[in-house]
Amino acid sequence: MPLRPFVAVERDIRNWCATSTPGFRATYVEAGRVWVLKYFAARFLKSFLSAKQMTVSATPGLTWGDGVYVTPLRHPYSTMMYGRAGVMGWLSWTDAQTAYDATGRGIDLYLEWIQYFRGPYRYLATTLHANLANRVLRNAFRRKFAIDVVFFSPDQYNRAYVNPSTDRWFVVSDWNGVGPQAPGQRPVRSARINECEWVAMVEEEFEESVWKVHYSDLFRPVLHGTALPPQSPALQHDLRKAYAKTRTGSQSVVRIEA
Amino acid sequence: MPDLYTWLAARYIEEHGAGASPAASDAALQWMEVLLEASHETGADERYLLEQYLALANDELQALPAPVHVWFLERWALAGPAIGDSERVPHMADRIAEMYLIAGPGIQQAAAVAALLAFDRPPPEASHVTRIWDLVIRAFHPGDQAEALAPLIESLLDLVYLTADNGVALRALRDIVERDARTHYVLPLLRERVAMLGEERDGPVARLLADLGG
Repeated sequence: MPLRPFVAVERDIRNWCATSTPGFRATYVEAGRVWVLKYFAARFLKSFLSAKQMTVSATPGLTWGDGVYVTPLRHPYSTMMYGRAGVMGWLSWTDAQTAYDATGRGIDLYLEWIQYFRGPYRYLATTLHANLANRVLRNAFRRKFAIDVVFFSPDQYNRAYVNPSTDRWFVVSDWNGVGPQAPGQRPVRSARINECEWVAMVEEEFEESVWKVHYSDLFRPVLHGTALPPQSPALQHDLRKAYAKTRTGSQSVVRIEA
Repeated sequence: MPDLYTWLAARYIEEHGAGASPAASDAALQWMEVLLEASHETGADERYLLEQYLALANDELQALPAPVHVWFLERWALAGPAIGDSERVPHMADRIAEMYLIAGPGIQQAAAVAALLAFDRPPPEASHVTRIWDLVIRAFHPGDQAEALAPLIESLLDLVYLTADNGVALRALRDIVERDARTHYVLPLLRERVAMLGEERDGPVARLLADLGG
């Protein structure tokens, strides 16, 4: 099928951003802030506590390129398979001027756009450097359209804690100090997520599948069979409380039981 | 600081031992970035590392995984030559042009092109990407030249459409076309891209083609 004119595709992408952004704000912004969580391995906790900033992930092959991968507070269980330490902070709505809904049509438009870039697209489709090419294209896309936040459906799963149809994960852009001529570069840590604090310790163990598509939870099936975790509003409340207490100078951590 | 090659190789072997695929993981590079961040105020360590990269022997460079080449070449694309380096620019640019062949084929070739653009100065000085062109014409059999040069031309075209400030990439394309008078490798690719994008007459590459009488 012949490609559409490039300008028409880019116009549609800008329109999609314009449609996505109000939806993002209506769903996630409260009093000018988007509250977010990030889980990582406990071995990184000490370095987190020294800087109190979230790192910008950059491993080639990440879903939407380089950025700060977080989940909204409203889905507090959704990414805890990535580590036992949970930290919380907020993104100012002024740093979420352009959001991109990377579900449905958002994916289709991205797939259409990348085909015009012969160099990386060729390497993506025909070589073992697909991860590097993906990284270049995803970063370039987010830069070209000045996208602050991409929100997307989970692409790694767990039967108890991840709900692919309702959960959303975010990647927050931070290209501070890095020009578009170097699409694989980004700052090491980001100041986009403000006032980060350690708030949670996960008491569950996960095992990644061979193909990295899903994680098995190991404690919960033994303790609770197939029962799903309690509803997240209670956990959200506890996390907010722990965060507020920690901000006053008294470290408080929620133990998230299996 | 230890020898750069030994250091990078050691980090990759360590990761490989821990179960990560050296070709897929860039944890060694992230570790390097943290190290550089600690000395960010002076920037001296980064410049030292970048120059050490260019000074590696060809066989050492060929042994490095693609993410390492992309990282270093992108850092060159951001840094460009240092103030006071003008006499060394031709040597450094020649070495980066060689990286296009040593590190390729792959996405790292686009990074080499972007790095050379960071060395460019306004006309009448020709773009440093012409060094890649000259190198390929010197080193390759005529039957293989078009294939070897295609990533250079495609990368410049990608940069034209990916970046808002595309003047440097367009000027580099023009300089390449001037070298293409006898070989005719470039114009077909420009026309193909204009057709693929459905570019109007006022589009950047369509205008360039019109200027060239193509």
